[in-house]
Amino acid sequence: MEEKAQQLAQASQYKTEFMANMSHELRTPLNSLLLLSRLLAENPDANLTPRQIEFANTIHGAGSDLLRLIDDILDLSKIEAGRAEVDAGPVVLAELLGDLEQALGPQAEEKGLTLAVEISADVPSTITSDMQRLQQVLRNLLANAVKFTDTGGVTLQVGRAGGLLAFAVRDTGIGIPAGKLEMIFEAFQQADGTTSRKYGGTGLGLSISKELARMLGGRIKVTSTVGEGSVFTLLVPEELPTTATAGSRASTSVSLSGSRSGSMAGSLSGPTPLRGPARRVTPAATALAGATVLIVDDDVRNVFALTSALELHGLTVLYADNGAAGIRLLTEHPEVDVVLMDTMMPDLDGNETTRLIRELPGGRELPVVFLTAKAMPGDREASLAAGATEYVTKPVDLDELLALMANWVTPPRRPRRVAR
Amino acid sequence: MTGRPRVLAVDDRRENLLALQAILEGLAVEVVSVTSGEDALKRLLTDDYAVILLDAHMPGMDGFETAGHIKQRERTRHIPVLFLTAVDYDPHLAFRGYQAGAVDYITKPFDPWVLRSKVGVFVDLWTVHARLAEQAEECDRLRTAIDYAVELLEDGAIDEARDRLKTARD
Repeated sequence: MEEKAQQLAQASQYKTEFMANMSHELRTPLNSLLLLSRLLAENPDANLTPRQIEFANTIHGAGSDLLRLIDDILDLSKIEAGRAEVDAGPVVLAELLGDLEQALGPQAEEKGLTLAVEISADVPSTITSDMQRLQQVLRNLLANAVKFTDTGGVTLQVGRAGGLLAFAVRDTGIGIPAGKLEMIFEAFQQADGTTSRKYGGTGLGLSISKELARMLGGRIKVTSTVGEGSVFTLLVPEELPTTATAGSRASTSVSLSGSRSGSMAGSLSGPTPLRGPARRVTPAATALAGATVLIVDDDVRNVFALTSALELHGLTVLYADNGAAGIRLLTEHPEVDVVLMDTMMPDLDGNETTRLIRELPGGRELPVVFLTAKAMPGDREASLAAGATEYVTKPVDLDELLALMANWVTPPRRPRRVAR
Repeated sequence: MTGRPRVLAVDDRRENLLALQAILEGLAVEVVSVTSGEDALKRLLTDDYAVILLDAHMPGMDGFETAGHIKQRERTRHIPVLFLTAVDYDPHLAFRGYQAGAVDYITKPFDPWVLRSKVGVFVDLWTVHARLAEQAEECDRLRTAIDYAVELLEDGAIDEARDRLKTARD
């Protein structure tokens, strides 16, 4: 039995995770669909016919409905899995009701309905509850009321009932047959199969509201007369204990950046503090200030860190992610004083690139420092034969690298430029 | 000022980049689109950007790691980063985004006009900064010329001083 229960709980957990993932997968393509259809409907270039604009609006509307459905499904699955949380705090009723009026007012007005909020004198001005959840439920009830009412109006009455606070949403809408009153709180159920065709909606709103009301320590009550209207009443305690949560929050697995450091083959040893004046200024570094360095390396993680460090020492850094681009940059920028070269690159590798550099006008004397993670016997010799000035294996100590670069850059810098 | 302010849009999905480009159309900016964090860093090594729109979830180097690199480099750490994510708003991830140095953490689908205004604000800021830097540079140049001219005047070389000041003014 216990095993079965465990399996069941696990299956439910899988379902929730699946829902969360699906919701992400569904929203991603929806995103561009919504944005582009909306932009299309705005018709900024004024070259669409009214009918085409209508189409675009329809696409946007349908996409928005789909999005709402996805959000609802996710909400419900979270609540069912006990992963939703209640965050109790002071709720100023006037504020809550004002927000609701503002949010639903336009919808009511559009349908020619009145929307009124009435508060009894004995209602406290502040209660303890979850503002967001409370608002979600009331907004849902009010939106439903507006949706299912064609003439008349919607009233939200706030009063006290048996020690609880009662938010009664009263409408003059189509009403619900007595036999269907229970059913409407089930997921995906509306009173009548034809309802959704006329009024839209998925039937998820009320089941979410019911669950949320429960989490808030209360419930939703409904009375209705077909053809006259319905009253949905949310009953919640005035003081929600701050510890009331529906299950604990699942910890988000957060893998911090830098966890891929295994593949970094960084030229800097360890995580170097790249910002601020922490690094001592070596004589080599001061000698290099103002020099221009070209880095040719396709591992951008590595290069970015190295570039930050070099820039802090006053060097100007040019960057190419492949040999051919490196050579092009070199011809465009004769001011380059030194090249830092990665050995392993797709297409043109470090050795090949260096050979080509040596054939450039002025490229014969240019210092080319190899930085490499691979140190197989014979590699060093091959690189030196290709024209490498220095051969350094990663990880490289920054100070060492600076000293080494200063060796090659400072003394012949100006004369070499003239010679070129 | 050198050209239009650049906006770097980073998203592994091309259709999202297309949408971003459409949203930013009409702003006086150049939108540069790349499909990975790695490519974003490469762009930042070569050019300056006014604002970065960064998808949080990408294969390979994700947005958080990309932002981390950007914020560690003196030359790029001032560039405002706006995270865009299709994942349901999660305070933990948002916190991670802000920790990585984001100025904003926006969940998709977002209102295109909101994003546009936000980008507009940062572009304006960048423009003001660029103008300020330009003026500071000119200030420096003029001061140097004045110092030099004063020296020349002390030596009695009036014509030379005048020429020097004239070239500085033009």
